[in-house]
Amino acid sequence: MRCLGYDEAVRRGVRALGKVGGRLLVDDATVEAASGDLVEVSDLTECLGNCYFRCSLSTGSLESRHGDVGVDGNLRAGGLVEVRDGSLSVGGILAAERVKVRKRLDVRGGLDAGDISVGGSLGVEGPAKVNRLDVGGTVKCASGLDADLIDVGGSVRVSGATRSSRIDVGGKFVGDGVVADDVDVGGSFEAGDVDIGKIDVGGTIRLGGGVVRREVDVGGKLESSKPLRFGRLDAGGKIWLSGGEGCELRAGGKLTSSGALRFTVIQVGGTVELDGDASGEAVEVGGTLRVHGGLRLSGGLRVGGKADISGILEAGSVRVGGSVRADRINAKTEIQSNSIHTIGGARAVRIEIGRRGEAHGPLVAEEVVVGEDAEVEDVYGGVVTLRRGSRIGNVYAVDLRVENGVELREHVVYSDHLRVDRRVSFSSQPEKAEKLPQPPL
Amino acid sequence: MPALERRTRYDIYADILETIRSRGVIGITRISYGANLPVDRAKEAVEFLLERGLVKEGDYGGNQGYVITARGGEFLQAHRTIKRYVSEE
Repeated sequence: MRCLGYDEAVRRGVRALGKVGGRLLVDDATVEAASGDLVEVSDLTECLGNCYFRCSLSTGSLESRHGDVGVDGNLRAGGLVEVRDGSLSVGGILAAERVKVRKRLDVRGGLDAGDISVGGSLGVEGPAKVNRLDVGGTVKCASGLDADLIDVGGSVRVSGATRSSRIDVGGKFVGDGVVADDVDVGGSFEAGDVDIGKIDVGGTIRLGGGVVRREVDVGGKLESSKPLRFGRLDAGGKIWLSGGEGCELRAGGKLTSSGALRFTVIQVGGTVELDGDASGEAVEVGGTLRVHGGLRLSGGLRVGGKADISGILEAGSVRVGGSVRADRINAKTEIQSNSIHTIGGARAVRIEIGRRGEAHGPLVAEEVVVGEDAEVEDVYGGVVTLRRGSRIGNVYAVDLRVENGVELREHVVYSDHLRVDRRVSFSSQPEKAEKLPQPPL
Repeated sequence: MPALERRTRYDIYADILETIRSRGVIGITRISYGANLPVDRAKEAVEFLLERGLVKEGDYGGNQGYVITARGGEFLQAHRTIKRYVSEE
């Protein structure tokens, strides 16, 4: 049946069609294929109301003004597929230059399109390959998603690999492997192995390891269950890694790593716990640092509270507000702490123990200052100053200055000068020697 | 029953962002319902968030509305953290 402006029209009911040369109007009707499975329309297919194709449809373009459109088989359009006020459901493959659907788009086969714009939700069971994907609600892809640009207001769940230049999601992104240049997510981001340039996430990130080449910026928590290579990690809350390698690690709260970690800088407001050997340039921690392994730094270690390293600590300099504990400490310039606990000793150019502090294990330095009322085991130094009220074991010094009320509990040997204030207690007479004994480290 | 506490402007921004985050793309009327605000005040607040890049405007399949950005999500996270620190409980 012909209708004004159309080469074929189907109004209500069911009609079988073959090839339509020109435009087809489907008004609240069902179309079947006259032979085989395919209906071909050379120009526009226009739908009014709820229209159903019990076949595959190949058309120049498809427009629906209102109502839902369903296609049992494949839907292929050279140009635009637009459903202005309804949903589109495709049982097979959807291939079109552009797709615009106001409500929901469901594709049971694959999706191959230029630009896709959906107001509501998108569900694709087959592989999805598009240029630009704009979806207001949620996206579910069961067999991977390859899109140059993914812009979704709600949430995205992709089973299989996701490849994109830019992923921009308001809610939550959940995927397997993700390869992308730029990821911007308002809620949370969960992915398996990743290869991403930059990730900016408001809430939390959970990764299965991989590479983040430039930067991760997360408002809350970052977790990686496998080793991660990174440029810069910045988390408002916690970072939890399974080891890895990168440049800067900054966290407002806590950094935990359960594997060996190589980095440039760690800056954490609260606590750092590293399980495995760690090496880098500098570490700055507001609260506590715990390393179950060795820590090697070319620059400084600054800890506000306590540093506990179960292996050897090597650093340019060490400044710890509370106490530092390690098998052995080697610092290029200075060690400054209230307390130093070592088995093998601490060595630096300058070592200073704070007031009322303590040191277990020998201290070896060109200059050693033991603070007031501090208690220290053995000191091997060039210039050694023992402040008022301090208590010392053995002292071997070139130049020794002993202040008021110091208690020297074992041997005192010096090679150059000894200056002693009043009320100093010696357990044995200080000895002047030509040569001092070799320090133990 | 405890007296209703007056919301700060930052609480209002957080309520708006939470509404947008939970709904995906959303128009100003539904934002005003979700954040318990008159439409004119919701508009002002959304403009403020828009200027600072915490939300963005978009057209999805003919549906026009606002979606939250990563910066918006960070604001929400930071707001929750501050609330936790200053909460009396």
